[in-house]
Amino acid sequence: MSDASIETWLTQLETALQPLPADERADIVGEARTHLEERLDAGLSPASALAGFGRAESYARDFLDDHTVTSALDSKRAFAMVKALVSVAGQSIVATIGLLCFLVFGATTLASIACILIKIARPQMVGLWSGDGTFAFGAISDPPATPELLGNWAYVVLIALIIVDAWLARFSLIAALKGLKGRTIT
Amino acid sequence: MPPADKATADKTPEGRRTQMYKGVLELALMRLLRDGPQYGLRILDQLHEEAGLDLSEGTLYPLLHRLEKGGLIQAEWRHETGASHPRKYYGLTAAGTKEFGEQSEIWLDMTERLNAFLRGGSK
Repeated sequence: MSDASIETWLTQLETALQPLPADERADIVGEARTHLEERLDAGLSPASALAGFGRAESYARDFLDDHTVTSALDSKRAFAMVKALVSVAGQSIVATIGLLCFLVFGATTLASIACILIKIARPQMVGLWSGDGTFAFGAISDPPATPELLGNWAYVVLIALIIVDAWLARFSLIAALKGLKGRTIT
Repeated sequence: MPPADKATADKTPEGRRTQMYKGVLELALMRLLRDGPQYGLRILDQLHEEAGLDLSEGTLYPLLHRLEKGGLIQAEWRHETGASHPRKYYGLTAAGTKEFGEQSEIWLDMTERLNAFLRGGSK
């Protein structure tokens, strides 16, 4: 027993679930079909049977969000992970915090790389200055009069910063996605 | 009683109760499946009859999907004699049983303390 409105809804669901693997999509649609047909067999009207599922696109959204998060984690690619977090950031505080941490640590990684490049071109502009009430670290166009303390050790410090910050940036993405996995995002 | 996924910011007792449901659905679902595998429609009806949780299909199936992906439950399609359609049955995995034990222990401890506090019996 079926109905035109139910068939339309199932077609819309199948279309909305296109990003999912075919077997997973068929499984979700098949289960919804079974449920709806059993409700109709029990005497419910098509409209009543469909009411609990809501709009096909909304129903599909939960499955898609979960798939986006899982796929991004499995890919291990930073771009895919950032994209997944951006797609749900508006709905999840975990995703927003993860993205913010990624941006902060990503920015400090890039800043450290820039400092190394500047140090190669203009060694006097990059270093650590401390004394006479002054403390400065990084690249400065007009360095303080106090002696620079690190010398070439600045390279070691900057490389260490790049490694640690890059790791923290990646960790922020993975931790946020793992926090979202298996959880209701909305 | 409104469906659990229709929770809004309404301040009626029913609205508040609906908001609270959301946090316990997973626990109630695992408790139900601890007794044996069940299929979606039956889960929905049993949660309503036995736990008083009036959730909708739009809440239940994505939750089952997430728990399955998370390895807490496993699913299989069964063609039962007498049934007009094949049904997808969900059962608790070993990891799900362990998770249920831990979650229910926390829940029972928390609600016991909270009940005592709300009734004003604890100092």
